[in-house]
Amino acid sequence: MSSILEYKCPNCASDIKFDSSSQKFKCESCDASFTEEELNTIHDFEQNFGEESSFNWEKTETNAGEMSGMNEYICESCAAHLAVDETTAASECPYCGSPIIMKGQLAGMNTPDCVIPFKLDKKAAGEALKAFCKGKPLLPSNFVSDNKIKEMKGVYVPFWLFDCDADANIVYDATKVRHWSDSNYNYTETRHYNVYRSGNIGFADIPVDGSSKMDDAYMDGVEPYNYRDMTEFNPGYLLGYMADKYDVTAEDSFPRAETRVKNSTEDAFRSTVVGYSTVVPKMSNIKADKGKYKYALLPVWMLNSKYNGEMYTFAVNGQTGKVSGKLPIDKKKFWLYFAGIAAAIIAIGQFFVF
Amino acid sequence: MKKILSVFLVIFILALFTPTAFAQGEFIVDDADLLTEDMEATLESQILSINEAYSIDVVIHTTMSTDGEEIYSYCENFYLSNGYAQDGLVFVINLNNNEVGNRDFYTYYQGTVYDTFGDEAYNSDYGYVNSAVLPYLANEDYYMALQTYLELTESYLSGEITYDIADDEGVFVGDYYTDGAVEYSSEPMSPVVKELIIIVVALVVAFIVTSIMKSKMNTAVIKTEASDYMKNGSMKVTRSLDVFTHRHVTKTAKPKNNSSGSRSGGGGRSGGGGGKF
Ligand SMILES: [Zn+2]
Ligand SMILES: [Zn+2]
Repeated sequence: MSSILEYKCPNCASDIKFDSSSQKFKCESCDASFTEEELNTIHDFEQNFGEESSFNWEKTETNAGEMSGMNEYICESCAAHLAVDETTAASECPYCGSPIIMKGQLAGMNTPDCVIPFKLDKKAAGEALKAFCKGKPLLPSNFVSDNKIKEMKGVYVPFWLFDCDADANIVYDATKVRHWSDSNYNYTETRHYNVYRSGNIGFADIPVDGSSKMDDAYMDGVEPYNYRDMTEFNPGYLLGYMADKYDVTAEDSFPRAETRVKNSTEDAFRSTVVGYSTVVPKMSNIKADKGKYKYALLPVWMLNSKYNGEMYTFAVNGQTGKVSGKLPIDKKKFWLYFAGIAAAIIAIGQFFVF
Repeated sequence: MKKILSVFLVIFILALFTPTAFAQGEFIVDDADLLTEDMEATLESQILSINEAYSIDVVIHTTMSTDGEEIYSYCENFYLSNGYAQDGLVFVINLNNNEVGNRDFYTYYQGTVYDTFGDEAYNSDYGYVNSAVLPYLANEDYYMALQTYLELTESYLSGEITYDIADDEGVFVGDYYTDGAVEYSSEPMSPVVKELIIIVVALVVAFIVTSIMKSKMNTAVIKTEASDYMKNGSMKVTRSLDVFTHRHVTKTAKPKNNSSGSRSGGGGRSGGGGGKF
């Protein structure tokens, strides 16, 4: 532990001196003053920022075995590997809409640790999709027809769920802005602060998509899932649905989980930084030594629909009905709206010209 | 005949009550009643000695309000319409009906006073006077404010204080207003231009609205945070420290207003500066 007098001014890195009248340490060049406790805290933080954020993940222990009694299908177009129980026939890829071919008995797919079973049937998912399309005036008429809804496919998408308790040391750059003016000038004063926060925070079941075929953006778009319904895996849940065999390993998913933990931690602690005009995280050091992850299947309804020769894909959360997807835009409708709005404003504008 | 006489009488009484009528030639016009008679006497002797030494008119005027007029034009009009000398200055304190933070102080100066200080130098130097006077004004110690003002003004005229750039970081850096240098355009916009503006606005709004409509068509957006998965009540703050590091002040000129009334005299040989307190 270095002596406090070797510390430099946290603002400008000049030498500091003890000032007996104020009983504080004063910077010789920038006039800032600090108590001993404050200097120690700041010093401690600075030590931390020398190190990288670190995470350590371990698989939750389960007695997982290999899945059995299932056939494996392969999509010739997108190379998705899908597990379908032997009593069900499958013909179309849920991700890209191309035909799929049975390869034989499923091998090399571990049973997941847990599953959220489908709660919405095809009809309910179709209603959710119709509701999603409402209030979107640029959508081509009849884009989502009942015929298309019949073609929706229920897929269990593989996920890695991450749990951790994180220790955080964060410095925010915060400002207070004040404005005033006199008869000729406007003045803006910006006061800058370094705001230090340490603490801990827990996260449970942050999902990261374990299928490269399922677009991350689509999957993130149907989040969140309600984990109350999560149960231990039972092959019976897969009847009548397809299950995607994961092709993104847990290790490959760590960076995404860590980014989400880091950003959320910075956001959460920012809520304790109050009374400022702006608050931006400047440096952060986050440690989670005893992180855990497990393998889960989450239910999604998929729909692929062609419009003007292009394929549009939708994902509907099989538990909550939340929809994500890119809807096609009817060019004719787009320009009609554009012209209509412009014309209306020009018409109103005439009242102000003369 | 009687009627005409009574009309004259009314005009005469009215004239008595307008400030111009009784301000004529007085160097201290304390309409806001901030000074006792003793104070006025002391300040007046200070003023008279300056006026005599430099052949100018130094005037102090306090008022409760400018009746909505901009402070700089109020100052100028006050000086020009009360028959003061061609060379001189007026320092006005406007209490603005005691609206704290919105009270003004301002100096209008012209003629040889302007020649002595020029434009740029006056700006910065003037900031120095302003920042010296401001603390007294803010404490409502008007007597000290005015004494300080007169002392510093005399130091200027004698050349005792020379050009000295005020602290740019200060809360009140100098500011000033000059006449004559700025040309105001007051020509009305042609209908064609107005029409073009409307069309541009219409296209921009239509573009924004349709872009919002378009953006609603895509809900597949990647997530980079996990706030949905934070364990409730799991956040604990163990250390917390807020340290002020530095500050800075920027100032930008306000757009000048061209409806501030008639400014006649001076012809470029006048200026002014002030602030709020
Ligand atoms: Zn310093
Ligand atoms: Zn496919």
